[in-house]
Amino acid sequence: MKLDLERIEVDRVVFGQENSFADGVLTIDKEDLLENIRHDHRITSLEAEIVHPGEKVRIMPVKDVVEPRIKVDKNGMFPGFIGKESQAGAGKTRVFSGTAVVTTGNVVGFQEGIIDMSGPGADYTPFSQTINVVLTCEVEEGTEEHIHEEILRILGLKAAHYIAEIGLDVEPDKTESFDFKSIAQARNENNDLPLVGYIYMLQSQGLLHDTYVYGVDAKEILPTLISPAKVMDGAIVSGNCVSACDKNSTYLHQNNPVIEELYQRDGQDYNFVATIITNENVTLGDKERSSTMVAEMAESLGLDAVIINEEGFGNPDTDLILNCKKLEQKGIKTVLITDEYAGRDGSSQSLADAAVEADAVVTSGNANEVIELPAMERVIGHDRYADNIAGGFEGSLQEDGSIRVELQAITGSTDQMGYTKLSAKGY
Amino acid sequence: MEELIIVTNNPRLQAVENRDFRIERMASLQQVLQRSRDLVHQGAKLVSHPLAGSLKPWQNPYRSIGLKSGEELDFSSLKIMENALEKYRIFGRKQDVLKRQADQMKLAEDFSRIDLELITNVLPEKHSFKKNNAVRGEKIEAGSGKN
Repeated sequence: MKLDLERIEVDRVVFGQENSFADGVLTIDKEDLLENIRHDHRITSLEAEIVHPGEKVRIMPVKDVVEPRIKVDKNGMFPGFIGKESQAGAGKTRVFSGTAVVTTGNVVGFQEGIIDMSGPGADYTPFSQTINVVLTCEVEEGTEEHIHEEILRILGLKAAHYIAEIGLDVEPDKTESFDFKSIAQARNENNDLPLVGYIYMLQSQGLLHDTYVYGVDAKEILPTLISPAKVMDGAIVSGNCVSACDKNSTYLHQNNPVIEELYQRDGQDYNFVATIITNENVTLGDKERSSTMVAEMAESLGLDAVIINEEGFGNPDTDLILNCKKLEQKGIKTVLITDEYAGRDGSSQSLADAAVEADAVVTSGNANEVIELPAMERVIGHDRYADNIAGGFEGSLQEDGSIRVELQAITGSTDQMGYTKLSAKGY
Repeated sequence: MEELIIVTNNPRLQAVENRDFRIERMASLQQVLQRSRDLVHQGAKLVSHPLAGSLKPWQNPYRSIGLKSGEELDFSSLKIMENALEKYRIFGRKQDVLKRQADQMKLAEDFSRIDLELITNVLPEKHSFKKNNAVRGEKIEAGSGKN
């Protein structure tokens, strides 16, 4: 299946009388946007603001980040939510590069998720570098948490799709083509390169820890194969809003760096055979079943090696290690990508589980590291949350309005697919 | 006969009574972990993972752990429990402070809700609190710690 990502580079986004794009400036009719995405009667207020990199703005608590993408034939983006279920992963996809839709929402009181558009915090989140259309949405009092989450999730997808539609009349600046081989093609390549797969773990523990595949709750799936091109077309959507540093926002799924890197070096360093998605459920029985099926699927595909990344920490560390052990026991080499919870000085054990087989691990940073975020001129989001984090833990609020937080609070800071600048070096 | 045991300090489970599983109520998170570890030594097997989902380690002051009674020591359950206790030793020292702050910030209800959601996964289908509004609305909310 061949997918063309047609990118339009955006320099600035403004609100205006009508939707248009010219000379790098994307103009959005705000009233029309809000009217089109307001999809649920429980929404009591809805506001949109635009922020650019370098502005003295803090956004929190971030719920999800979505990249504006649309199929040129309008069918297939975010299958199961917006697009037709049969259409994703082939044809042409139009992208407004350098932009993102950011949804905020206080689903639970302890929620984190900070994006600072400037200052030291900006270095830790990829979304300080995108021009963000930030949606602030309130819902009726008494709306259940999972309904609230769903309202915000769909709001973000609708906004990203609406904005991307403005790009349908625009000549793209560049086109990236992804022509992923079928399993048979990859296996029949006439070279001596190893057969490599990708084990793509999805957070699926329940309320506020969910991921959706084609609109289906990932905790209900069995491990399965997915076309990487479908992932680029929004087949995987985040419903995860509690773990700010290492939740995979929908944007990160759309731009999964593991998939892009595996594609770039396919046929040179290895043959990229398949992507297997699996879940991270609560019960140990579920964990055993999913990891067994992942290992058997990899074995039946004849894989020599896999890359595995988890999403989240604590309990999912067990899924990561089970996957690693069962694959290694079948003779399939594994490389793991994970972040660490190694205490503030980095000296504690990093994961909640371990195995001797896990001997090749890439870290995406220590989430317990503490940084200081200076006060910003403007905060977009929810005041109640601002009170909580400001007065929250261990005197994090300083007299000048700055706050001390662990990297955990910053959206995408230790992303376990590697969409981050953090890692570790041995000396 | 195998028995499902829920060891918990979640106030939402205080008022739940039934004949399908046994609830052991504890006063603190540390007690929940230690009691679960002790039950493993007595032959019980873990059904749910003792670490929370992706919240900060020990940020959530409430924890419910599901076990099935048994006769033989299950080493894999024991290893998981010991790892969890080790994490508690590293990150749990500030538990009392965190719990007090959570109470002050009126977050107890949200934290206990998340824990309830996780443990619901191990209960028989008819005890799915998510789907059973009568149970959640009348009995559990009463002890939810909501101010």
